[in-house]
Amino acid sequence: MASPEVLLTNLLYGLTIASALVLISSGLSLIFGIVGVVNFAHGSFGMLGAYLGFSLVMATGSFWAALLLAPLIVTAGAIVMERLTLRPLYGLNPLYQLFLTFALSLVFSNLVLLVWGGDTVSIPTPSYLRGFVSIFGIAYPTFRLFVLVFSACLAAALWLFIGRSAWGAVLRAGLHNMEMVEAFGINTRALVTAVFAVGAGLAAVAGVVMGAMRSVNPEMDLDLITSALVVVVIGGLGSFRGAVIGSLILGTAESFGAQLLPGLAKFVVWIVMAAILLWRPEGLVKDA
Amino acid sequence: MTTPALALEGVNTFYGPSHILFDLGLTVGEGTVTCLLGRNGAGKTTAIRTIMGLTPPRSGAITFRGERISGLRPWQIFRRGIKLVPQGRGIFPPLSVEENLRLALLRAEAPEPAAELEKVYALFPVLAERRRQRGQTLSGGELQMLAIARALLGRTGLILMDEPTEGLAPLVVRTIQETLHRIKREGATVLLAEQNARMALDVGDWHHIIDDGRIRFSGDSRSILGNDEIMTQYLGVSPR
Amino acid sequence: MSQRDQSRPSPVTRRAFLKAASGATAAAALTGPFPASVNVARAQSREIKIGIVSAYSGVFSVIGKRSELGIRLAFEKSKYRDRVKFFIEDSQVKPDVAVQKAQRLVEREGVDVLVGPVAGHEALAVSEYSKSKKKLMLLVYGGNVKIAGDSCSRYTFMVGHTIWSVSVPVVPWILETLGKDVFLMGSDYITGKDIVRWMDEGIKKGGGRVVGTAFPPLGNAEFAPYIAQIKNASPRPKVVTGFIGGSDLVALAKQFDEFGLKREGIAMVQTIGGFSDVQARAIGEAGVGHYDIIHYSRWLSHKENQDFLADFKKFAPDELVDDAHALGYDVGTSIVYGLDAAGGVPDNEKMIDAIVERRWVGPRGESSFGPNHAIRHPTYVRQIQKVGNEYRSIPIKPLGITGTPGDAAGPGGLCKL
Ligand SMILES: Nc1ncnc2c1ncn2[C@@H]1O[C@H](COP(=O)(O)OP(=O)(O)OP(=O)(O)O)[C@@H](O)[C@H]1O
Ligand SMILES: [Mg+2]
Repeated sequence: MASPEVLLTNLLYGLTIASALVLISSGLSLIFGIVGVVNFAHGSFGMLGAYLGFSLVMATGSFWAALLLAPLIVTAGAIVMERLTLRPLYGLNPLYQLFLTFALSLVFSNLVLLVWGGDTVSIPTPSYLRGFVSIFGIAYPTFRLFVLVFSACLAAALWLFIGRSAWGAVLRAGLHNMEMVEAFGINTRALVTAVFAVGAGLAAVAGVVMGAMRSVNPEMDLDLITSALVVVVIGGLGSFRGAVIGSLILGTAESFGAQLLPGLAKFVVWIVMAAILLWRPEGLVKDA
Repeated sequence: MTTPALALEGVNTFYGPSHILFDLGLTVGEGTVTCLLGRNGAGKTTAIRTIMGLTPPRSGAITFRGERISGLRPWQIFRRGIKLVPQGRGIFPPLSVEENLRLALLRAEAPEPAAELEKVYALFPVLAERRRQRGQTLSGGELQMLAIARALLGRTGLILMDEPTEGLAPLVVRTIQETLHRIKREGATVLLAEQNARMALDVGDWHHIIDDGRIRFSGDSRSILGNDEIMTQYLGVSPR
Repeated sequence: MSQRDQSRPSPVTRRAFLKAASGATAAAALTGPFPASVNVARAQSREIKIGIVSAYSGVFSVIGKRSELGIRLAFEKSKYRDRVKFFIEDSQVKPDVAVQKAQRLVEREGVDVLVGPVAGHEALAVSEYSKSKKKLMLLVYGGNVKIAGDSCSRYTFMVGHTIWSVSVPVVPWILETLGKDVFLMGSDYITGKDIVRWMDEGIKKGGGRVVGTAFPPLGNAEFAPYIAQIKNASPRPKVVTGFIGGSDLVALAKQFDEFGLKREGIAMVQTIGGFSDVQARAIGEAGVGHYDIIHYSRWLSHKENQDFLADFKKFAPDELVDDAHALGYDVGTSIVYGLDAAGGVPDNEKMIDAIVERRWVGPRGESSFGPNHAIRHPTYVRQIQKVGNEYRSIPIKPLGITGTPGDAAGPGGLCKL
């Protein structure tokens, strides 16, 4: 059953999923790292991105408009949300924040039902991305390859930004000690808002590409937040490198799990997560 | 003494319900090294944090060069030229030496960042050697030099230094002490929180003795050296 | 949506209504101004209370709302239009909540007839309850075969379908038209597993071959690994069929195309009307050519369906009519039929005896009930086609009338009423 061809297909497929997972999980992880909030509504950003993307494709006929504009709209919304609802709760009991973000996720899912109804939709892809590309003799869908390359480039850009730029250093410093960052002249409230906004925007990008590969439905927020949580638990909360490594593990576990142990795909993922929790409760990676 | 650069008046600070600083009043003269001397738990760090805005006072006024800074956020206080060398150094371990310095330069209003870096590298050549090394790999002395170097970057009006020699070997303490003298010669204004009376009395121009969150005595080095009661009761130094 | 909000009696108004009503009776008892005959006349024209326990929140809320509109249309067209009052409750698709809401409707509001919830497990739970209260209940969906089998009830009518009646009848057509080598795929829960099991039996009996079986988890959005299994099956299947739930199916159909199975000419056949017009639109180009089996389509051309569509256009102009509306309408007309037979009074026993005998041509076509109170409806094979800019699920082949046997060999066991 496990011919090299199948293995390679699964690997490519796992990488594609992993690259999209990086986009959704890095924001969740970084937000937690700098303000200690597990944003349960993070999956909603992905879902809103997907639905907005769908409406934008319908209105403009352009997939690219969706990929660009939907995340921008979500980003703007996330800024408002962070300022109005989350900011007053920083530094309080993390349970309040969890309750609040959970409540917000319910608000968003009802908003989606209200605006788009409960029907499943999906985002049409441009016709020139619908064919196949041959990779080592394997026919891989062009659109998936696009998702892989596009998400991987975004993730690499983010990686470079965090690792090399001056503001990336500020972020890494903030993950370690936010107070000291503030004491060196940096308005950390604005920094938090910026991280939140970028995280939400990336989640929305993930929502659009997932909505094109899979479907757009009112329950996808749960799927997205669950995957993102698994990723950050595996990789280590508050770490971008952790999000990348966690995504690779989850992506490949899902693809090979479904292939080798059909019916147990999700199970494999939970096992991996439980094992890591027992072995290294802080996740695989500790710093940024 | 000239007009003070920094003045605290009737400052009360709390950690949650516990009252830590009681009607604190103190001044730091422009161009002086002023010490805040006291034992463990006296309230030195709390006073420094209060000035920096990290633990804002519940009442009282803090002014810097005539402008009220109590109520401002730490980043706004930093941008008025007040620099912190915190207790425990506060270096960002995952960042390299140079990244730590560049972060401190980001908002320090330095028109020529490269020149600023060269300035502190000249002051602490060991940092120049280690510029690519991560903060977490430095020795205690190197960390302290890095913490002081950060405070010297860009426009600096006042340095708040919290126990810079804590936990360091005698040889390193001497280096830090020399550095302080040098900074002082160059005209810096420093508020130095210390337990080490010998070091404080050596570099300090003026001293405030703090105990239980209250200022117990203020005076110059000579007046303290001549006061056995203060030396024994507040500074834990046995009379000669 | 707004339709429902307006119609749902809020707790406050409901309480106010009860207060006013009890006040009126008390006043009548005190002054006694009306002769007895007037009271009888009143009973004849008294309110008819219909209690609907359905999905009104979450993903299934569209089903609740659409079927409710169908029921309302049936009453709108009846002589009970001014006497009927609807009481709406959200079951949240949870059996315990559904029973609790049904209890409230029956015991607090005193509804005359219940319309039951949409998912199989809730439908069974509420059916047991309505049996214990001897309260007539009609199911729009809730196609649990147990209710047509060993858990059948005199008080429950399955007006929509059972998951058997809209799946298994397609097997002979598949083998005859599409090919003998079949890959079965079912969402990994009871409905998906049951349908795959029944189809597996049917295929083997009909001389076909099952070349592979897969059960992706419910809520699965990534079918690449399962598609790899299809590609690896030998011999290559001619058809992929079974049951994949709601939004999972959109993902499956997209990826089926993405990974080239459609181009290879492998057919996909879904059961329980998986490819509705709405789903077809969601899937887009990738879905064109796929088949499903169901009892309704708005593209059915018989007069009764055309009338129904025209009525709906007037009643709710913005609705895109689908099977939920049609089934709701059949539930509504069945209640109206029972009321007519019982002389306009909601006498449940009389209504039941009449409804069992009902034979009608509705939006779906010729319909009636089996002795186990499970619907007998026409079934159709539909195919997704592109018409202009629209994707439509168009009936291409009638499969005759199917019910759900309630005998010992039937899918839900023996029904004893
Ligand atoms: N976060 C806090 N919450 C509550 N109480 C605190 C907190 N930090 C310090 N304190 C208390 O405030 C008092 C003053 O502490 P502070 O750290 O200012 O003393 P210090 O003079 O700097 O001592 P040291 O020389 O040990 O650094 C102490 O009694 C200490 O226990
Ligand atoms: Mg201290």
